[in-house]
Amino acid sequence: MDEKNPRLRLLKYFGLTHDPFETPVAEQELARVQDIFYTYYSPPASQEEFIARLRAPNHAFVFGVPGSGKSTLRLMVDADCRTVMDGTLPITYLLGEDIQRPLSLPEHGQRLSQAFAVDLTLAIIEQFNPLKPAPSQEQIQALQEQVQAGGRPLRRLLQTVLRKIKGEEDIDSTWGLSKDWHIIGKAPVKYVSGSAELGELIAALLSETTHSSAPIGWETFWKGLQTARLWHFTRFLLLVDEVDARQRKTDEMARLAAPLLESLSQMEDQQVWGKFFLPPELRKNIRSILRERYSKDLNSPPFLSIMMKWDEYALRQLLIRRLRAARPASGVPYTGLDNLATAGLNLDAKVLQAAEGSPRRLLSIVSDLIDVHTRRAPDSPFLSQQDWEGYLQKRK
Amino acid sequence: MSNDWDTRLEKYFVDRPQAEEAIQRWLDSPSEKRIFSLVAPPGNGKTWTLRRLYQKWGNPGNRLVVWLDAPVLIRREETQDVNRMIDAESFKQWFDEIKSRATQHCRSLQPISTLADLPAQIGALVEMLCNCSLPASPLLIVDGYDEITEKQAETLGLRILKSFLERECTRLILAHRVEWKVHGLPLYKREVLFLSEKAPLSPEFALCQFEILFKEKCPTDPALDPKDWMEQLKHYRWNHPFINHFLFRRGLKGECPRLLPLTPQDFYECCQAVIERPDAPGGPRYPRLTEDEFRLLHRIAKELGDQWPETDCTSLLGIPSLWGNAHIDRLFNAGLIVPTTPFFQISDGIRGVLREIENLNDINFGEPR
Repeated sequence: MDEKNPRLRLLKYFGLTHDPFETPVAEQELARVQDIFYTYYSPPASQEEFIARLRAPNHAFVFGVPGSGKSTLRLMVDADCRTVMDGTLPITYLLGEDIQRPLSLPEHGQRLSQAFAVDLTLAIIEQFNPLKPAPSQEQIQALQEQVQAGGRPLRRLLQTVLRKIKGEEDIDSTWGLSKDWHIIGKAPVKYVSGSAELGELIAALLSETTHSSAPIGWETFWKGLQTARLWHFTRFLLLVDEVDARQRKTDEMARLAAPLLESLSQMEDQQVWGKFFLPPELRKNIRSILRERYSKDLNSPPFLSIMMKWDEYALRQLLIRRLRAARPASGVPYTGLDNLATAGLNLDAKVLQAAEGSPRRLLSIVSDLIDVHTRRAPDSPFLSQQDWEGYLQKRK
Repeated sequence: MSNDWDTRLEKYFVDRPQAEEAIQRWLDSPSEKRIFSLVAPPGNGKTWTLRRLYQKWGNPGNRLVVWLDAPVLIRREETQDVNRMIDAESFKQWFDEIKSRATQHCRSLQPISTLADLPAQIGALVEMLCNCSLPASPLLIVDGYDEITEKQAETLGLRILKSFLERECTRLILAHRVEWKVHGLPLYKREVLFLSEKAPLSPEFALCQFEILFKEKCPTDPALDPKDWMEQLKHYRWNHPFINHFLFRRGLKGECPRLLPLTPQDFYECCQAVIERPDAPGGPRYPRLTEDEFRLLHRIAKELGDQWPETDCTSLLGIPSLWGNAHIDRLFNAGLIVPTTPFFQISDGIRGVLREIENLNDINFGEPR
């Protein structure tokens, strides 16, 4: 059947299975193209070893302007820890738009313990192997308390997973149970199968046998770490992101992150390592907190700072990676946007220059260009000089 | 490993020390890149190189090395239902073999229930191996990775390879063509070795191959120097082990110890043989080219340079784009046209052989002789 949406029709003409330029924001992409999100990853060339450095036992500060790939990097570190199982548990802690003012230390404790409970439960399900000895009663009881702390989305996920294991709903054949991770805002990183043994564990976690009336806070978090150790996790990476959501002012962002920075040494004693993804304007504030509180600089161990920068080569690789991810292996692979453009236009060079070192800007330009092209109902499917001029006009 | 074309040609293999050294170095170093991609065009010696290393590493055997022929484990006719793509019986045989070999390396291995699914079985084995303080990382070598479909490769990646890589002690080698995507494993860093760049084949390599073939065909005759005969070819550089073998065999078809001159028909059939050579289960890797496809490929080889931009090719053929052209797609899928970003080329070896054909009218496009 003919595709009615002109944008999708164009992409289909070029043999792309989906739109790799639909949105330039990592979290939105994650929600839309869950299955292939991780195949998009293309790091800035000069900093290929980002993930290894961030997985090391240090408190790291990754600075980058909006759209420089901080959240994508954070998601990659999270996925890497979930894929290579060396006893590391990633904890995603987002200080997003729902936070209207800087949080106090107890308020951080409440949010963090919830985030921890979700990620711990997810990791245990992902790593569950029915061939290993069944979990002990002590492990199950401790995890039950975490499930309570995890809140409603976690319970919803567990209920969905249980229905699938019982055969009441179909399990996705490619990803298994992990296809439903979107309920808690995660993408699948591996095939997770639904064994009867896992079903028993989840049923036990959902049972209403224990109810703790204690308020959720830092105590829950520290206790959660003990639970995680019972389940053989030995190191914890606290991935703090979205500090620059809501267009917060620098001072506001600094005050939001400060309680966490104050707690770093306590966390370190428990093998919890903070990984902060921050806008560059916070660099000065962070440095001054570290100097004042720990008499250390941004790059004195156990601290590490990284600045995200993209050169033209890295941006080109990002473009190619996306085009390849959207094209089946059969057929000639694309080597850039020039393959989608009229001869002699040199669209790659134009777009890369206009991106000015920002991957988000690059993706937005390509997306806008496709929109300009499809709106003018052209005779030829190839992107042309007229489209480029139309885009420049629109940008003005 | 099954009795495929590569096995039959194994005795004509000549080693490639630079490539072997590079792979050995990677395996011995504490690299974060636990996947090694051995990249080369079809017939360039990926399988041979890996088999040689497999035999070397497995003997005397301080490392557990496991071989996996992707086309053997995957039901190639099943292209849609991922639950049926991995052949249960083949998996069982393969996994039993691994378990039996693994017990020689790790005495504390416990029996693994076969009731659980495949990732759980592999995960359980790998965990026991990694807890066993082995002197060297367990290694999985996957051959024929580019002979299965994209969906099949993704299933293999998610169900088997990923489970094998979940613990840090393991390593994986994948052999594939340059343009082939690695599926289901985007999170892992890879070391990549381009075989024809790291270990380019020299005329000396070809002479060693010839020597083996000559002794086999004419055991009682004194050694023959084929240099003059080889130099009759103006374009082919004797840099492709499969093609060398094919052409030497054609040359040696006559009476010993003479070498017959090579004909356009020989070159045509040589190209088809590269495409059609049987894979591990014994079927042709790719269907042979039609006459139209062959003519198209020949024209590109003759009229364009070694590497060419897309626009040169589209102008030559009078087509709007390389993308979406069924003939070009077929040539590409068979590994005959490869990208060398930002250019394209006809794969090494085949390009030279095609250029040896002056006139296509000399060719009988029917059945091979």
